[in-house]
Amino acid sequence: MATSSPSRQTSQLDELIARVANGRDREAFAELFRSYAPRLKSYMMRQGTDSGTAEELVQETLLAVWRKAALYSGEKGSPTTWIFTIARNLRIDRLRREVPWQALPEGHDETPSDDTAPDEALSLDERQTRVRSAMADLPPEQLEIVRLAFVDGLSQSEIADRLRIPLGTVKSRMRLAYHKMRGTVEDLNDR
Amino acid sequence: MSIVHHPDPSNLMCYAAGSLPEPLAAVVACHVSVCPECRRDVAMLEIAGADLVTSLAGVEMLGDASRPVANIGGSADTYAVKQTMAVKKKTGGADVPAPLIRLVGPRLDGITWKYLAPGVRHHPLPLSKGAQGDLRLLKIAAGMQMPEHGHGGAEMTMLLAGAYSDAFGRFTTGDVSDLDTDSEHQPIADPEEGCICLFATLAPSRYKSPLAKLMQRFTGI
Ligand SMILES: [Zn+2]
Repeated sequence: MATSSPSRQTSQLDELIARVANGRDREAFAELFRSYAPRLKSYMMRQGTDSGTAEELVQETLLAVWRKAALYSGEKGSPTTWIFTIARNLRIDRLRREVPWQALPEGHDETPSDDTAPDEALSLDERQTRVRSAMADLPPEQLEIVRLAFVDGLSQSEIADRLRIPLGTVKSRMRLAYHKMRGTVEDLNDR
Repeated sequence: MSIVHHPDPSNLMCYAAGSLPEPLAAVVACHVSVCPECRRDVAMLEIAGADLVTSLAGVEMLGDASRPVANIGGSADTYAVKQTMAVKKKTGGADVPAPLIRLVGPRLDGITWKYLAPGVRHHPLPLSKGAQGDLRLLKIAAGMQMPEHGHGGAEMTMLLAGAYSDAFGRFTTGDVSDLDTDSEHQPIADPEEGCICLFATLAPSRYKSPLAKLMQRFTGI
Protein backbone atom coordinates (compact mmCIF):
# COMPACT_ATOMS: atom_id res chain seq x y z
CA MET A 1 0.00 0.00 0.00
CA ALA A 2 2.74 2.44 0.94
CA THR A 3 4.37 2.20 -2.46
CA SER A 4 1.27 2.49 -4.65
CA SER A 5 0.47 5.80 -6.30
CA PRO A 6 -2.30 8.11 -5.07
CA SER A 7 -4.46 7.32 -8.08
CA ARG A 8 -4.09 3.60 -7.48
CA GLN A 9 -4.98 4.08 -3.83
CA THR A 10 -7.91 6.23 -4.84
CA SER A 11 -9.44 3.63 -7.12
CA GLN A 12 -9.17 1.01 -4.36
CA LEU A 13 -10.89 3.41 -1.97
CA ASP A 14 -13.53 4.23 -4.58
CA GLU A 15 -14.43 0.60 -4.78
CA LEU A 16 -14.58 0.14 -1.02
CA ILE A 17 -16.81 3.15 -0.56
CA ALA A 18 -19.08 1.99 -3.33
CA ARG A 19 -19.46 -1.32 -1.49
CA VAL A 20 -20.19 0.51 1.76
CA ALA A 21 -22.70 2.81 0.04
CA ASN A 22 -24.55 0.27 -2.00
CA GLY A 23 -24.47 -2.80 0.15
CA ARG A 24 -23.85 -1.56 3.69
CA ASP A 25 -20.89 -3.93 3.43
CA ARG A 26 -19.25 -4.15 6.88
CA GLU A 27 -16.26 -6.00 5.56
CA ALA A 28 -15.60 -3.27 3.03
CA PHE A 29 -15.98 -0.72 5.80
CA ALA A 30 -13.45 -2.54 7.98
CA GLU A 31 -11.02 -2.61 5.09
CA LEU A 32 -11.62 1.06 4.34
CA PHE A 33 -10.94 1.76 7.99
CA ARG A 34 -7.68 -0.20 8.03
CA SER A 35 -6.48 1.53 4.90
CA TYR A 36 -7.61 5.08 5.59
CA ALA A 37 -7.59 5.54 9.37
CA PRO A 38 -3.78 5.73 9.76
CA ARG A 39 -3.55 8.37 7.04
CA LEU A 40 -6.35 10.37 8.61
CA LYS A 41 -4.63 10.10 11.98
CA SER A 42 -1.47 11.42 10.39
CA TYR A 43 -3.52 14.29 8.90
CA MET A 44 -5.16 15.16 12.23
CA MET A 45 -1.82 15.16 14.01
CA ARG A 46 -0.26 17.37 11.35
CA GLN A 47 -3.18 19.72 11.96
CA GLY A 48 -1.96 20.04 15.52
CA THR A 49 -4.09 17.60 17.54
CA ASP A 50 -2.61 15.18 20.05
CA SER A 51 -2.68 11.47 19.30
CA GLY A 52 -5.81 10.74 21.36
CA THR A 53 -7.85 13.58 19.85
CA ALA A 54 -6.59 12.59 16.41
CA GLU A 55 -7.91 9.05 16.93
CA GLU A 56 -11.25 10.38 18.11
CA LEU A 57 -11.57 12.57 15.03
CA VAL A 58 -10.60 9.67 12.77
CA GLN A 59 -13.30 7.50 14.35
CA GLU A 60 -15.84 10.30 13.92
CA THR A 61 -14.81 10.80 10.30
CA LEU A 62 -15.16 7.18 9.34
CA LEU A 63 -18.39 6.79 11.28
CA ALA A 64 -19.75 9.72 9.27
CA VAL A 65 -18.60 7.96 6.11
CA TRP A 66 -20.56 4.87 7.14
CA ARG A 67 -23.63 6.87 8.06
CA LYS A 68 -23.67 9.09 5.01
CA ALA A 69 -22.45 6.58 2.44
CA ALA A 70 -25.96 6.11 1.12
CA LEU A 71 -26.17 9.84 0.36
CA TYR A 72 -22.79 9.91 -1.27
CA SER A 73 -22.96 10.18 -5.03
CA GLY A 74 -19.91 8.98 -6.93
CA GLU A 75 -20.86 11.13 -9.88
CA LYS A 76 -20.37 14.31 -7.90
CA GLY A 77 -16.73 13.76 -7.06
CA SER A 78 -14.24 11.26 -5.78
CA PRO A 79 -14.66 9.40 -2.49
CA THR A 80 -11.24 10.50 -1.28
CA THR A 81 -12.28 14.11 -1.75
CA TRP A 82 -15.49 13.38 0.10
CA ILE A 83 -13.62 11.79 3.03
CA PHE A 84 -11.16 14.68 3.04
CA THR A 85 -13.96 17.24 3.35
CA ILE A 86 -15.62 15.29 6.16
CA ALA A 87 -12.32 15.02 8.05
CA ARG A 88 -11.52 18.70 7.46
CA ASN A 89 -14.95 19.82 8.65
CA LEU A 90 -14.85 17.69 11.80
CA ARG A 91 -11.44 19.09 12.56
CA ILE A 92 -12.75 22.65 12.11
CA ASP A 93 -15.82 21.90 14.23
CA ARG A 94 -13.52 20.70 16.98
CA LEU A 95 -11.58 23.96 16.74
CA ARG A 96 -14.52 26.30 16.39
CA ARG A 97 -17.36 24.41 18.01
CA GLU A 98 -19.96 27.14 17.82
CA VAL A 99 -19.94 28.33 14.25
CA PRO A 100 -19.76 25.82 11.43
CA TRP A 101 -19.09 27.82 8.26
CA GLN A 102 -17.53 25.13 6.18
CA ALA A 103 -19.88 23.39 3.78
CA LEU A 104 -19.44 20.00 2.26
CA PRO A 105 -18.98 20.13 -1.49
CA GLU A 106 -22.12 20.41 -3.54
CA GLY A 107 -24.19 17.26 -3.60
CA HIS A 108 -22.35 15.82 -0.62
CA ASP A 109 -24.14 17.76 2.02
CA GLU A 110 -27.16 16.38 3.81
CA THR A 111 -29.24 16.91 0.72
CA PRO A 112 -29.53 14.28 -1.96
CA SER A 113 -27.86 15.29 -5.20
CA ASP A 114 -29.69 16.00 -8.40
CA ASP A 115 -29.22 13.55 -11.18
CA THR A 116 -25.94 14.08 -12.89
CA ALA A 117 -25.62 13.70 -16.64
CA PRO A 118 -23.27 10.83 -17.57
CA ASP A 119 -20.90 13.10 -19.50
CA GLU A 120 -20.58 15.33 -16.46
CA ALA A 121 -19.59 12.30 -14.39
CA LEU A 122 -16.92 11.56 -16.97
CA SER A 123 -15.59 15.09 -16.77
CA LEU A 124 -15.33 14.82 -12.97
CA ASP A 125 -13.08 11.83 -13.34
CA GLU A 126 -11.05 13.67 -15.93
CA ARG A 127 -10.93 16.74 -13.69
CA GLN A 128 -9.37 14.70 -10.91
CA THR A 129 -6.72 13.24 -13.19
CA ARG A 130 -5.80 16.69 -14.46
CA VAL A 131 -5.67 18.35 -11.04
CA ARG A 132 -3.40 15.54 -9.91
CA SER A 133 -1.01 16.04 -12.79
CA ALA A 134 -1.02 19.82 -12.28
CA MET A 135 -0.04 19.17 -8.66
CA ALA A 136 2.76 16.87 -9.78
CA ASP A 137 4.10 19.67 -11.99
CA LEU A 138 4.08 22.39 -9.34
CA PRO A 139 7.46 23.95 -8.54
CA PRO A 140 8.62 22.79 -5.09
CA GLU A 141 8.20 26.22 -3.50
CA GLN A 142 4.54 26.33 -4.56
CA LEU A 143 3.80 22.75 -3.56
CA GLU A 144 5.35 23.38 -0.16
CA ILE A 145 2.92 26.22 0.50
CA VAL A 146 -0.10 24.29 -0.75
CA ARG A 147 0.89 21.43 1.53
CA LEU A 148 1.35 23.68 4.56
CA ALA A 149 -2.18 25.01 4.03
CA PHE A 150 -3.94 21.70 3.36
CA VAL A 151 -1.99 19.21 5.44
CA ASP A 152 -0.66 21.33 8.29
CA GLY A 153 -3.70 23.62 8.37
CA LEU A 154 -1.62 26.80 8.52
CA SER A 155 -3.12 30.17 7.64
CA GLN A 156 -1.33 32.43 5.17
CA SER A 157 0.30 34.49 7.90
CA GLU A 158 1.34 31.34 9.77
CA ILE A 159 2.97 30.05 6.58
CA ALA A 160 4.74 33.39 6.13
CA ASP A 161 6.08 33.16 9.70
CA ARG A 162 7.09 29.53 9.35
CA LEU A 163 9.02 30.10 6.12
CA ARG A 164 10.15 33.62 6.98
CA ILE A 165 8.83 35.03 3.73
CA PRO A 166 6.46 37.99 3.17
CA LEU A 167 2.70 37.36 3.31
CA GLY A 168 2.48 38.66 -0.26
CA THR A 169 4.81 35.90 -1.43
CA VAL A 170 2.64 33.25 0.22
CA LYS A 171 -0.43 34.65 -1.50
CA SER A 172 1.21 34.92 -4.90
CA ARG A 173 2.53 31.34 -4.75
CA MET A 174 -0.96 30.14 -3.88
CA ARG A 175 -2.36 32.09 -6.81
CA LEU A 176 0.20 30.56 -9.15
CA ALA A 177 -0.64 27.04 -7.96
CA TYR A 178 -4.35 27.77 -8.33
CA HIS A 179 -3.94 29.09 -11.88
CA LYS A 180 -1.91 26.05 -12.82
CA MET A 181 -4.70 23.72 -11.66
CA ARG A 182 -7.39 25.94 -13.06
CA GLY A 183 -5.66 26.02 -16.44
CA THR A 184 -5.73 22.24 -16.75
CA VAL A 185 -9.48 21.98 -16.13
CA GLU A 186 -10.60 25.16 -17.92
CA ASP A 187 -12.04 23.42 -20.97
CA LEU A 188 -14.07 21.10 -18.71
CA ASN A 189 -15.52 24.14 -16.93
CA ASP A 190 -16.70 25.76 -20.13
CA ARG A 191 -19.10 23.04 -21.05
CA MET B 1 -27.46 37.23 -9.79
CA SER B 2 -24.52 38.15 -11.97
CA ILE B 3 -21.35 38.01 -9.93
CA VAL B 4 -18.33 39.94 -11.15
CA HIS B 5 -16.04 40.13 -8.12
CA HIS B 6 -14.80 36.92 -6.48
CA PRO B 7 -12.54 36.18 -3.48
CA ASP B 8 -8.82 36.04 -4.17
CA PRO B 9 -7.73 32.53 -5.28
CA SER B 10 -5.32 32.34 -2.34
CA ASN B 11 -8.29 32.72 -0.01
CA LEU B 12 -10.35 30.16 -1.90
CA MET B 13 -7.41 27.80 -1.45
CA CYS B 14 -7.20 28.33 2.29
CA TYR B 15 -10.96 28.01 2.56
CA ALA B 16 -10.73 24.61 0.85
CA ALA B 17 -7.88 23.71 3.18
CA GLY B 18 -9.88 24.77 6.23
CA SER B 19 -7.09 27.15 7.25
CA LEU B 20 -8.73 30.48 6.42
CA PRO B 21 -9.32 32.54 9.57
CA GLU B 22 -12.93 32.29 10.70
CA PRO B 23 -14.35 35.72 9.74
CA LEU B 24 -12.93 35.45 6.21
CA ALA B 25 -14.07 31.81 5.96
CA ALA B 26 -17.59 32.99 6.79
CA VAL B 27 -17.57 35.44 3.88
CA VAL B 28 -16.16 32.86 1.47
CA ALA B 29 -18.76 30.31 2.63
CA CYS B 30 -21.54 32.81 1.90
CA HIS B 31 -20.10 33.72 -1.49
CA VAL B 32 -19.57 30.08 -2.45
CA SER B 33 -23.20 29.38 -1.56
CA VAL B 34 -24.31 31.71 -4.37
CA CYS B 35 -21.39 31.45 -6.85
CA PRO B 36 -21.23 28.27 -8.96
CA GLU B 37 -17.87 29.34 -10.37
CA CYS B 38 -16.16 29.53 -7.00
CA ARG B 39 -17.96 26.39 -5.86
CA ARG B 40 -16.32 24.59 -8.74
CA ASP B 41 -12.95 26.10 -7.88
CA VAL B 42 -13.24 25.04 -4.25
CA ALA B 43 -14.17 21.52 -5.39
CA MET B 44 -11.06 21.52 -7.60
CA LEU B 45 -8.88 22.63 -4.70
CA GLU B 46 -10.41 19.97 -2.48
CA ILE B 47 -9.28 17.35 -4.98
CA ALA B 48 -5.75 18.65 -4.50
CA GLY B 49 -6.12 18.57 -0.71
CA ALA B 50 -7.53 15.05 -0.73
CA ASP B 51 -4.61 13.91 -2.82
CA LEU B 52 -2.09 15.37 -0.39
CA VAL B 53 -3.81 13.72 2.58
CA THR B 54 -4.16 10.38 0.79
CA SER B 55 -0.43 10.46 0.08
CA LEU B 56 0.53 10.89 3.75
CA ALA B 57 2.40 8.11 5.49
CA GLY B 58 -0.01 6.66 8.05
CA VAL B 59 0.34 6.81 11.82
CA GLU B 60 -0.78 3.61 13.53
CA MET B 61 -4.11 3.70 15.37
CA LEU B 62 -3.66 2.36 18.90
CA GLY B 63 -5.67 0.03 21.11
CA ASP B 64 -9.45 0.33 20.86
CA ALA B 65 -9.16 3.09 18.32
CA SER B 66 -7.63 0.69 15.82
CA ARG B 67 -11.03 -1.00 15.35
CA PRO B 68 -14.01 0.63 13.66
CA VAL B 69 -16.63 1.78 16.15
CA ALA B 70 -18.81 -1.14 17.17
CA ASN B 71 -22.28 0.36 16.88
CA ILE B 72 -22.37 1.07 13.16
CA GLY B 73 -25.33 0.22 11.05
CA GLY B 74 -29.07 0.07 11.50
CA SER B 75 -31.74 1.82 9.50
CA ALA B 76 -31.92 4.54 12.18
CA ASP B 77 -28.88 6.27 10.66
CA THR B 78 -30.41 6.83 7.28
CA TYR B 79 -33.67 7.83 8.90
CA ALA B 80 -31.98 10.54 10.98
CA VAL B 81 -30.33 11.99 7.90
CA LYS B 82 -33.61 12.07 6.01
CA GLN B 83 -35.21 14.02 8.86
CA THR B 84 -32.47 16.65 8.59
CA MET B 85 -33.12 16.98 4.88
CA ALA B 86 -36.79 17.65 5.45
CA VAL B 87 -35.98 20.50 7.83
CA LYS B 88 -33.45 22.03 5.44
CA LYS B 89 -35.90 22.11 2.57
CA LYS B 90 -38.10 24.65 4.34
CA THR B 91 -35.92 27.70 3.70
CA GLY B 92 -37.34 28.69 0.31
CA GLY B 93 -37.66 32.40 -0.52
CA ALA B 94 -34.56 33.25 1.49
CA ASP B 95 -32.44 36.23 0.49
CA VAL B 96 -29.91 35.62 3.28
CA PRO B 97 -27.01 33.38 2.14
CA ALA B 98 -27.51 29.82 3.41
CA PRO B 99 -24.60 29.79 5.90
CA LEU B 100 -26.03 32.84 7.69
CA ILE B 101 -29.63 31.69 7.95
CA ARG B 102 -28.98 29.81 11.18
CA LEU B 103 -27.79 33.07 12.75
CA VAL B 104 -30.12 35.74 11.40
CA GLY B 105 -33.02 33.92 9.76
CA PRO B 106 -33.83 33.64 6.06
CA ARG B 107 -34.91 37.21 5.30
CA LEU B 108 -32.80 40.36 5.22
CA ASP B 109 -35.87 42.41 6.16
CA GLY B 110 -36.20 40.34 9.34
CA ILE B 111 -32.79 41.34 10.69
CA THR B 112 -32.64 43.66 13.68
CA TRP B 113 -30.18 46.54 13.33
CA LYS B 114 -28.36 48.69 15.83
CA TYR B 115 -27.13 52.22 15.33
CA LEU B 116 -23.41 52.45 14.58
CA ALA B 117 -22.85 55.87 13.02
CA PRO B 118 -25.00 58.33 11.03
CA GLY B 119 -26.42 56.39 8.07
CA VAL B 120 -24.84 53.16 9.25
CA ARG B 121 -26.46 50.34 11.18
CA HIS B 122 -24.96 47.02 12.09
CA HIS B 123 -25.68 43.52 13.32
CA PRO B 124 -22.69 41.81 14.96
CA LEU B 125 -22.21 38.10 14.27
CA PRO B 126 -20.74 35.58 16.70
CA LEU B 127 -17.37 33.95 16.19
CA SER B 128 -15.86 31.05 18.09
CA LYS B 129 -13.97 31.80 21.26
CA GLY B 130 -10.44 32.93 20.54
CA ALA B 131 -11.14 33.54 16.84
CA GLN B 132 -9.09 36.34 15.37
CA GLY B 133 -10.90 39.26 13.74
CA ASP B 134 -14.44 40.53 13.51
CA LEU B 135 -17.59 39.73 11.56
CA ARG B 136 -20.77 41.79 11.25
CA LEU B 137 -23.53 42.82 8.90
CA LEU B 138 -23.63 46.48 7.89
CA LYS B 139 -26.61 48.36 6.52
CA ILE B 140 -25.51 51.53 4.83
CA ALA B 141 -27.78 54.34 3.75
CA ALA B 142 -27.96 55.48 0.12
CA GLY B 143 -25.01 57.63 -0.91
CA MET B 144 -23.08 57.07 2.32
CA GLN B 145 -19.36 56.83 2.18
CA MET B 146 -18.17 53.56 3.67
CA PRO B 147 -15.09 53.18 5.84
CA GLU B 148 -11.79 53.70 4.16
CA HIS B 149 -9.51 50.76 4.47
CA GLY B 150 -7.43 51.16 7.58
CA HIS B 151 -4.27 49.19 6.73
CA GLY B 152 -4.92 47.07 9.78
CA GLY B 153 -5.12 43.66 8.10
CA ALA B 154 -7.05 41.70 5.52
CA GLU B 155 -10.71 42.50 5.07
CA MET B 156 -13.48 41.01 2.99
CA THR B 157 -16.91 42.38 2.17
CA MET B 158 -19.78 40.59 0.48
CA LEU B 159 -22.77 42.51 -0.86
CA LEU B 160 -26.05 40.97 0.25
CA ALA B 161 -28.35 43.65 -1.16
CA GLY B 162 -28.05 46.97 -2.96
CA ALA B 163 -24.72 48.09 -4.37
CA TYR B 164 -21.62 50.15 -3.82
CA SER B 165 -18.85 51.51 -6.01
CA ASP B 166 -15.17 52.15 -5.45
CA ALA B 167 -11.95 52.36 -7.45
CA PHE B 168 -12.28 48.62 -8.25
CA GLY B 169 -15.71 48.97 -9.83
CA ARG B 170 -19.34 48.45 -8.92
CA PHE B 171 -20.29 45.73 -6.45
CA THR B 172 -23.75 44.21 -6.42
CA THR B 173 -25.43 41.30 -4.65
CA GLY B 174 -23.10 38.31 -4.38
CA ASP B 175 -19.93 40.25 -5.20
CA VAL B 176 -16.97 40.09 -2.83
CA SER B 177 -14.37 42.76 -2.27
CA ASP B 178 -11.23 40.98 -1.08
CA LEU B 179 -8.53 43.38 -0.02
CA ASP B 180 -4.95 42.87 0.98
CA THR B 181 -3.53 44.81 3.84
CA ASP B 182 -1.99 47.37 1.49
CA SER B 183 -4.99 48.10 -0.73
CA GLU B 184 -6.75 51.41 -0.33
CA HIS B 185 -10.28 52.21 -1.33
CA GLN B 186 -13.28 54.22 -0.26
CA PRO B 187 -16.56 52.69 -1.38
CA ILE B 188 -19.71 54.75 -1.73
CA ALA B 189 -23.07 53.07 -1.20
CA ASP B 190 -25.45 53.18 -4.14
CA PRO B 191 -27.17 56.61 -4.24
CA GLU B 192 -30.62 55.01 -4.68
CA GLU B 193 -30.68 51.77 -2.70
CA GLY B 194 -27.74 51.92 -0.30
CA CYS B 195 -26.50 48.46 0.60
CA ILE B 196 -26.40 45.61 3.07
CA CYS B 197 -23.11 43.77 3.35
CA LEU B 198 -21.29 41.13 5.32
CA PHE B 199 -18.08 42.65 6.57
CA ALA B 200 -15.10 40.66 7.89
CA THR B 201 -11.80 41.99 9.17
CA LEU B 202 -8.68 40.41 10.55
CA ALA B 203 -7.38 43.68 11.97
CA PRO B 204 -5.68 42.96 15.27
CA SER B 205 -7.61 44.61 18.06
CA ARG B 206 -4.82 45.20 20.51
CA TYR B 207 -5.74 48.74 21.48
CA LYS B 208 -9.39 49.07 20.63
CA SER B 209 -12.35 46.79 20.26
CA PRO B 210 -13.23 45.95 16.64
CA LEU B 211 -16.44 47.92 17.09
CA ALA B 212 -14.65 51.05 18.33
CA LYS B 213 -12.25 50.80 15.39
CA LEU B 214 -15.08 50.45 12.95
CA MET B 215 -16.95 53.44 14.41
CA GLN B 216 -13.80 55.45 14.19
CA ARG B 217 -13.53 54.68 10.51
CA PHE B 218 -17.09 55.80 9.86
CA THR B 219 -17.03 58.91 11.97
CA GLY B 220 -13.40 59.92 11.53
CA ILE B 221 -13.14 60.65 15.24
ZN1 LIG C 1 -17.20 33.49 -7.04
